[in-house]
Amino acid sequence: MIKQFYILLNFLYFTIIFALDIGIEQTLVLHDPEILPLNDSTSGSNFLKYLDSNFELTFADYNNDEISLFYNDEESIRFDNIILFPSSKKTINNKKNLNQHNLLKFINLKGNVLVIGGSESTSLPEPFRIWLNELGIYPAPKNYKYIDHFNTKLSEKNNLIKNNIVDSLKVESYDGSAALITNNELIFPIISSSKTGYTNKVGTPIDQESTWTFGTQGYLAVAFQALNNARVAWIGSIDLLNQVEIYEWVFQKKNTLRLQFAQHVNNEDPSKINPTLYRIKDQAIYTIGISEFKNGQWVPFEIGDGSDLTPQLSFKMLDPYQKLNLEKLGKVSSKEKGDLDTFAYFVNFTVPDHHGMFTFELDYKRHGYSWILDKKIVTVRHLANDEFKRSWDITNSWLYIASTLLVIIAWFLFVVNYIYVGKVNYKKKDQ
Amino acid sequence: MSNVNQLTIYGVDIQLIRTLLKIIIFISIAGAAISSRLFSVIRFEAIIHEFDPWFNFRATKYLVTHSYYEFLNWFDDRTWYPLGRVTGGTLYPGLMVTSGAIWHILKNYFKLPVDIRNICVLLAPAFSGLTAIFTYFLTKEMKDSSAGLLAAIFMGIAPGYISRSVAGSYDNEAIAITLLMATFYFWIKSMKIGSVFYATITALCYFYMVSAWGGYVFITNLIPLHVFVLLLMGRYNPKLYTAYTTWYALGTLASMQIPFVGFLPIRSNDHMAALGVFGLLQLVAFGDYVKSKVPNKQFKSFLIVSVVFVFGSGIAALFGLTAMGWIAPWTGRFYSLWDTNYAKIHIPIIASVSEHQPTAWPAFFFDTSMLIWLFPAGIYLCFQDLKDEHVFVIIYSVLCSYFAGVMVRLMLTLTPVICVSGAIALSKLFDVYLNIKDAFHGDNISISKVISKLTVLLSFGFYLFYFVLHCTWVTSNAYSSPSVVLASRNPDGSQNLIDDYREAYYWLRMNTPEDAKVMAWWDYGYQIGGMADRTTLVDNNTWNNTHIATVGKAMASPENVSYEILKKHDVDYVLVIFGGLLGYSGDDINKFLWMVRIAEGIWPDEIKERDFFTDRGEYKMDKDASETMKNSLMYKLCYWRFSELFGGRDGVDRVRNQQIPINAVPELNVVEEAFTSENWIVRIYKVKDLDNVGRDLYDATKFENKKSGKRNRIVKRPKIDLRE
Repeated sequence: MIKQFYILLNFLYFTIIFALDIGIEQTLVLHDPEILPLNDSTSGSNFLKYLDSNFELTFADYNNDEISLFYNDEESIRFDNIILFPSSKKTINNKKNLNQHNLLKFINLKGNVLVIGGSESTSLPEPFRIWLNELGIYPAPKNYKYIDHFNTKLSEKNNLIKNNIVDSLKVESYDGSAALITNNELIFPIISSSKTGYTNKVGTPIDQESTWTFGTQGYLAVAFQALNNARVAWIGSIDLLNQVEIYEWVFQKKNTLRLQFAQHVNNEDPSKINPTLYRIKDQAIYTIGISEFKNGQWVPFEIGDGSDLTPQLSFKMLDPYQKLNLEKLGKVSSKEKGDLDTFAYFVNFTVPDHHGMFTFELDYKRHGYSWILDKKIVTVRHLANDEFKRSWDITNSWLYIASTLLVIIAWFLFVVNYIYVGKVNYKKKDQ
Repeated sequence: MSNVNQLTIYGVDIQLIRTLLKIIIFISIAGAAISSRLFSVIRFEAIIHEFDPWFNFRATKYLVTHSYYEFLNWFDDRTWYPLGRVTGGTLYPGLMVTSGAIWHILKNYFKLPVDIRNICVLLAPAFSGLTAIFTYFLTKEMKDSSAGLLAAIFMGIAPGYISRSVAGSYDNEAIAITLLMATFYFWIKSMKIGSVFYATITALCYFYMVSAWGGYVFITNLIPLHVFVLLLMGRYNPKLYTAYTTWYALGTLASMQIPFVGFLPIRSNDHMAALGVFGLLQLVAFGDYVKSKVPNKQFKSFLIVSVVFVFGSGIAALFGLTAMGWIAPWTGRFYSLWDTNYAKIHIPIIASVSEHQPTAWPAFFFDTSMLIWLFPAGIYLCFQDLKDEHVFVIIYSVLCSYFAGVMVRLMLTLTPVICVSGAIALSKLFDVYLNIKDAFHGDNISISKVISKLTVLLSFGFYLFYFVLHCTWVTSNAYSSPSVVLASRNPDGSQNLIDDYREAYYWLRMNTPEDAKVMAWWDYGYQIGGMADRTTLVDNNTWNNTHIATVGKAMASPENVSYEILKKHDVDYVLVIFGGLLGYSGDDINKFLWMVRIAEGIWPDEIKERDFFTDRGEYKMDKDASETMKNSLMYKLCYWRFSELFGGRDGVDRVRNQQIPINAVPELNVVEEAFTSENWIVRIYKVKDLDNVGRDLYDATKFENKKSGKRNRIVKRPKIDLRE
């Protein structure tokens, strides 16, 4: 009886998890009630409305001990997104669950994080700061402020870096912090400081040691996309929440791509998809289909002609032997009898005259879009013994063939001559 | 004398008895030859030995599961990743085709579906019986059938030959020595009687030999040399002309049918001697004809002028064509035959193979026992007789004595001629001393004569007996280890099998994805391919020095450099052999200097052999080890967590007798331990993926290991490189 009950409980438990899985995305909002109560109309009000209409929200204080990022198996994440509002304290109580290692694991399990920096009196609690540093983003600490005496307003000319995320600046006055970033290739800044901006401790003069950023080395908004396409953004001020694109991007609502299929066929036998064996100088056709997530559904991802976004194929063995732009094929469906939700690209090329194990590599890394990486290893073999030209097909060989025949005929004539011609018939003579 | 043929014993014709006896002797010899090669099967199991046989075995399996043409056109995508190997065109197919044919015949005609592995294991012993028979025929041509029988039994049990033909040693040499003897026998036969038929058979045997072993070049040069020497001795005759031209024309055409040989017979220097002698023989034949037509005096001047002219233009053509690249120059292996230091300086990859080292002199006694001192006596007897065929034995013995001194593995080709000439000497001795008729039939029976005969006979009887003992002992103790399985003794004397290799390879086969790429030093390539069935980067077919050097560089470099190489080559696992725990000296640390040297040959700026030694020039692994050594991937993979086994004290490397300090444990960043075998001989590491958040793996490991400890209140501005 108890066992049955237990099974039922288990069943219920899994159903709930399942329901959570396919249901509305879960989002955790961590905030400091002393700074941001999140109940009156702050500058983030539009943002909160957006959150409310799109996600199942969990609000929590930084000191909330109940919060855990993972389910009990430690392999799946409880939330899809985390939003970190500024805090007044440097430390938190829930170090067991909210530490830098768990945050990193959260990203590795494909969770997204939006970090909101604050004005001079706020900062990020330590675990979050260490974790951001690990990604390569170093926000200025507490009591630091971004200042620009010459360009008091943000402008697209001075500040905006076009990375396919933000097209136009909607914020003019900026009250917040700035960050330094490392050379990590997965980081791409969105809004930078102007040449004349700097980040300094409030009330102290500029100093080589203590000033956090000088000029364009500081960034006001930074995006980060991990190899598994988990997204992180750090924005230096709550003002930047007016740039809707930034948080839409973080929550995977914008510029999210999916490789629906990638396949190659041999021109001689197109019915066989993804053959593992090619022959040198065969014609190969490589096709991919990419969809983009827009307004809650997958739609074809079509690129303008000659755009930088055009996907490329490398056919490589240690080094690329071919590096080709894919051509547009048209809208297709990723499923049988489905909607036209995918845009297909293709390229037709000759396999190099070199045998070995080659990789069809689609390494699509464009700032602002999801990374796409697909590798398919095939064997390119040499010509078999019966695939060469026959000797008589090569005009150069005719000379040799003719001389061979000539020798054979001459030898035959010689033998005939030697045996039968010109010999005295001894038998006759004897008689 | 005609009544000799009618001699009967108990009404049976004596010739018949002779034949019967001979057959019984042959069967016994074959039995002895085969059974003495079965030690390893009885002690261990029917397993393929060592390294190369694993490739041959794998290729044979491919042959019997695919068609012959698929085998011929086989492009192997599981070795030399990502280059691949045109295996069908770069192997000698004779061995595989032979066992494949046996397999098919047994299956289709005798309805005996034998496992191909058993055929492969037992092929070498079976062919050793044939070798003995061909040695009999060859020696019979030299002296008589009693010498032949002696040579046959010597050949059957001489350790020099057994070393390459025990059960499980499924290598090209297993059938090649048989074919060598067959070719030589038929050559002597055809040369003696000038028969086109026998010369054709010689050519066929030669073709089979070419298809089976790269050592066929030995025949390609020995037969022309024999002819050349005979010409110099003024022994030209039409028989020689018939035999040689037939053999050369047919043999060369046939040998060109083997894809791996292809056009070599007309384009490589190794084969030019045969061509040159062929041309010379035509001229001599023509000269002979002229001589019979013109007076002697004129002929002499004609001869001198033409010989000088022909010789000069021949040499000039050879040099010219070689310089123009039409004829391939001598290969490195060939140079290392003349200058034993050549390989060490120019081609470390050849020098790194232990069987390419010069032979130590005790090896001659070890491998041939008493035959080594009978050998010169036999040659002396050949000189006394000095018929055409004896010249052959003399040339063979001179050449091979030299080669065997230069390279250990060429003991193999010396052994047959030692057996032949030893048998000639011994049979001559027996002819004289076993002739007891004289002692009793004489007018007065001389006691001293009888005693001297008895003494000699008894002592040689003892030598023969001792020879058998020695051969059996050597075979049993030195040449019957599969080297895949190691045997050792427990303190109580019982046998302890160390089966780490197979344990690890089986682990790879069972626990890694089928397309996983395994990087290991090339010695283990064939075994990984054969036993673990995983893709390797390099293997014992050392055709691409650069690729091997790449692996050497990956092993000898610091982790971050290695990681780039590993990623570029899609490596999933790294395998190293470590003998430090057990005292197994054939491990990767002892081979490490070769890896360094080979890598240095390609990247002299990045890898320097000197850096791997201590300041005092010692090769050390302990606390004195150089920084480069300690940072190399190989060192880290071998000694990772090694000291932990010793309960807080320093680890002891039993191969090098050095202390591995407990407080300087190597750290691993780019790989993680996946498997270590029971006795730590094989260690397998998995290559980590790229870091998901784009850090280098050093930082990632550091971060992983640093649990949130002391709080750092003051946030300092980081030192960051300028953003690119």
